[in-house]
Amino acid sequence: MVTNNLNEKIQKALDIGLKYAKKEGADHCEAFGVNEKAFNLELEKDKPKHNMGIQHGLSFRVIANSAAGFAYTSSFEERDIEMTVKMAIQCAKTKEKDPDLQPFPEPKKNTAKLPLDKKLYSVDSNTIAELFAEMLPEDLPKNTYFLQAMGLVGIGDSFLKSSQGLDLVEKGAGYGFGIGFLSTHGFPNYDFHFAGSRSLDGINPKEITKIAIEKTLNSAKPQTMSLAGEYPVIITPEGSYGLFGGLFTILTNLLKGDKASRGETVYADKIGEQIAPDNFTLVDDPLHLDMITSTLYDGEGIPTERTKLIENGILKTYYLDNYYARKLNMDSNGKAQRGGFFGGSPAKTPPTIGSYATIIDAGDSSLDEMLSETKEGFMLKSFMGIHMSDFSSGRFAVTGSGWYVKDGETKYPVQDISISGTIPELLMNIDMISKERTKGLNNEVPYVRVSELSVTAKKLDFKVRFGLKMLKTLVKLGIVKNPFI
Amino acid sequence: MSNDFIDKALSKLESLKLSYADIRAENSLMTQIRTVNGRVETSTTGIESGIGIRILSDGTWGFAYGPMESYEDVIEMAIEVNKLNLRHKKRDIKLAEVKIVEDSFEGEQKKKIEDTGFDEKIELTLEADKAQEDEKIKSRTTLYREVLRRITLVTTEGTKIEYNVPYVMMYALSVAREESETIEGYSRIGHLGGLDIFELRSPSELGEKAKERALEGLKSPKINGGRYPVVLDGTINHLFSHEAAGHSAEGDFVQTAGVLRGKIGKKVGSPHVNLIDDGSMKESSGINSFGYLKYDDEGIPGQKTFVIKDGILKTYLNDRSSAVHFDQKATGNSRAEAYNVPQIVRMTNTYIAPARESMKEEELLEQVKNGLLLMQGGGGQVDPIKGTFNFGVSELYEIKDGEVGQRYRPTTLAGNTLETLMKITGVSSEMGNPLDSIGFCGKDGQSAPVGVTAGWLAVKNIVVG
Repeated sequence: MVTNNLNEKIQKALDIGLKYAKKEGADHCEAFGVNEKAFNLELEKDKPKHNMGIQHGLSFRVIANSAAGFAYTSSFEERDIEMTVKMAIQCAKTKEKDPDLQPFPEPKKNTAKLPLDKKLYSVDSNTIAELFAEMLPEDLPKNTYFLQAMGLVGIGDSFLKSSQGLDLVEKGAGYGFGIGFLSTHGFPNYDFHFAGSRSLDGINPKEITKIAIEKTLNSAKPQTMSLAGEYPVIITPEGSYGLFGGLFTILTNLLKGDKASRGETVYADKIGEQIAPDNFTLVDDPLHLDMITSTLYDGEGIPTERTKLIENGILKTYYLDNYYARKLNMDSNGKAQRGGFFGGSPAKTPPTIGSYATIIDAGDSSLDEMLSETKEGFMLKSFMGIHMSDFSSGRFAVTGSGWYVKDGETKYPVQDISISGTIPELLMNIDMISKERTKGLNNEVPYVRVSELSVTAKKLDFKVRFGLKMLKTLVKLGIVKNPFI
Repeated sequence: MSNDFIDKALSKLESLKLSYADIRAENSLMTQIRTVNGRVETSTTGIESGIGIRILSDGTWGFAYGPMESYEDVIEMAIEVNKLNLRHKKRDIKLAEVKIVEDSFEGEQKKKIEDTGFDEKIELTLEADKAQEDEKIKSRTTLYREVLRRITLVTTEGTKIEYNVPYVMMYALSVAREESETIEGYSRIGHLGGLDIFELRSPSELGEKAKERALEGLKSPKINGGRYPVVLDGTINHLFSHEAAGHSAEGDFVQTAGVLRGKIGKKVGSPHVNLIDDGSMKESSGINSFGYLKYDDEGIPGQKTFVIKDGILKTYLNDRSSAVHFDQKATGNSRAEAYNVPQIVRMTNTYIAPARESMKEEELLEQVKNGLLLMQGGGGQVDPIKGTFNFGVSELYEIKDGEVGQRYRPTTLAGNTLETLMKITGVSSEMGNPLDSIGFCGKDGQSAPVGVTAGWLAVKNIVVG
């Protein structure tokens, strides 16, 4: 549970800031505060690395001289709060007048409900540590080793007040657990599984471990290949929106209203156009009952809503906040964010556009059908290098791992498979979408098959493969210790 | 910074008779200005303050953080976490002996960020924006960022270090469009110092470079993906040394897994390779380096470490506990991004230097003869367990008969760490301009300033595109 006396300090600090902004001549002011207790649980092989803390901060966004300014602080001293507001006003006053700037949003109630799990909101460190410990396995299959277990718990109150009369207090609680294993069966490989929930009973720690072990075994003994050409590729839900970044996060960037307004994305001025197959529907759902990023109000206090970005392949709208919605002559759909659930203090940055919970509608093929329709290709589950993609054109060249598919079956796990192309081409080349969907921490998406994608791969050099084989033999004979465990 | 809270927290920790404890108190100043198409889009400024306390008790860590004035709650939380950690303890954490340090210092700034007005910083940012103007450039984004890190580190062993260290950075992103083709051009500079950075390279030069990369990219053909013999410039030398080789040598990580685990004393690279991490490198080519550390966050002086020498793995990069674990020396690589995260092993200025005879850049091109010259790395990612990596490349040129030829569109390169280390066939020794190699390394959700522009590398082959 959060510290209540800190809540009182924050409320008081926000009022001081709002009052001072008015006194200093700001036309409008928006004050935000956060008080979040975070438990970070981590066991890295044999090293426990738990930590915990209080994430706190205040920020002020002002409109003065027809321009906006922003400043933040982690101090509750009156003089520091006043200085922060002064800095925000100075930020605004040094900027040119912005004719598109409008006052901050008026208060509006969200009639939707998003229950708060009181058990999770008031959970203590012992309870969460016991749940965490349930993930740790007693027995493991041969050549499979425990690598790392993680737990992240965020329990917090956020406060948003404005000179427009906004006065919001949002209580939130969510957590995520994950565990990973290493397989030394063949070339060393590992896999993880994560689950998240807004309810303390929403996660079964033992089930996470079971799935993680299955995933590790399924991707054990990966091979490298030498090839270059066009192949069909099935992208798994993790490959699309994985915890460490998925390929479709590039699409999220291409659909941001600020980029569209500046002509910085290939999808600028494309509303109403067909950009994906008929059965592709992409939704952002901040009101999903069990996503850790769900919220009733966005970072500007606008009631959130379930938004169809792409419906039956047609681009319907962009991710929009108050400012860019006006610029594009549209209505905000409540996509302003103040830092992610796991990402730093939300008080440190002004609201920016982003997605809350990504849902892609299920298709009409089963995964088995998708595989059986693939004569030769790949099913890929994770990619490296997504952040180096071109977020204007959607051009990407990433390295992935997954499985080689031949004659309708997954033949063996593979790694170091590079794929390249552009997101617009990839979307239009989706020819199958699965009925099966997987729920991630902030997404629920199916498998998609891309009929043709440029694939390049290079087999590991003979010397490296031979070296690994030799090492395996030496380990078996007990001559050397397995360096991978 | 309220020394009163720090003194009280230290007294309280000393009274608990712990094996060890350290306090990191922070009161840093940060400013960011972002312009888009000639207008200031966002300008933010703020103070990041708080206290992080790490205790070592019963051979196990406990770390907690919170507001400075709540130091008593933070100590309680650290004790609570220590008890939770004890449940999973398999072995004792032991710390390498260190020299006790008392020091106070400020990073040099010829033009101080504290003394420069907001208006001037906006003007500088807009100067970079203006330089990107062109009829084919459809969007221009420039980001100015400054951080004045004000930290106090105290330990129950008696170390006390207070410092103010400034960082200034600027990034420019030009988006060029012609018909349905869109391409990004990116450029960035940064150093450990003040606004005097713009005397070394002006915002206009930065903006011009981003524009040039976008426009050249637009008219350049796409490279066919495949395996090519390559020469990597000094920024990609740094990127490869840091991402692919360096992360695999971090002492905290190697305890768990990784391709360099168990390989001390073994040949892991070609005989041309000396892999160096040098936190003591204050400057290179007369310019302040981004990864310089006078002391790390355990109070150990930044130092030059040969991780690989003549192709042989000599040591890991260590904090005090991994040094004891591996029976090696603490290498001054313990860093924390801010008060609210624990110290972990991080790199500083990491690069490959020639182990044998140094070659000239032209000689490396001659050696490769036909292949690709890859220049200006733009971010990277590594899987240190599998030993695979993927980097962005802003400039690609064909090498034909040892000469630089046709330019290609920006793309990525990918490979395997051990294989690539073995395939390095030549290294040039001339260090490049460190302004071109600045970056923030991400690990465990923390970022750390790193960067040096080293010599060029010739590699037998690597996957490009």
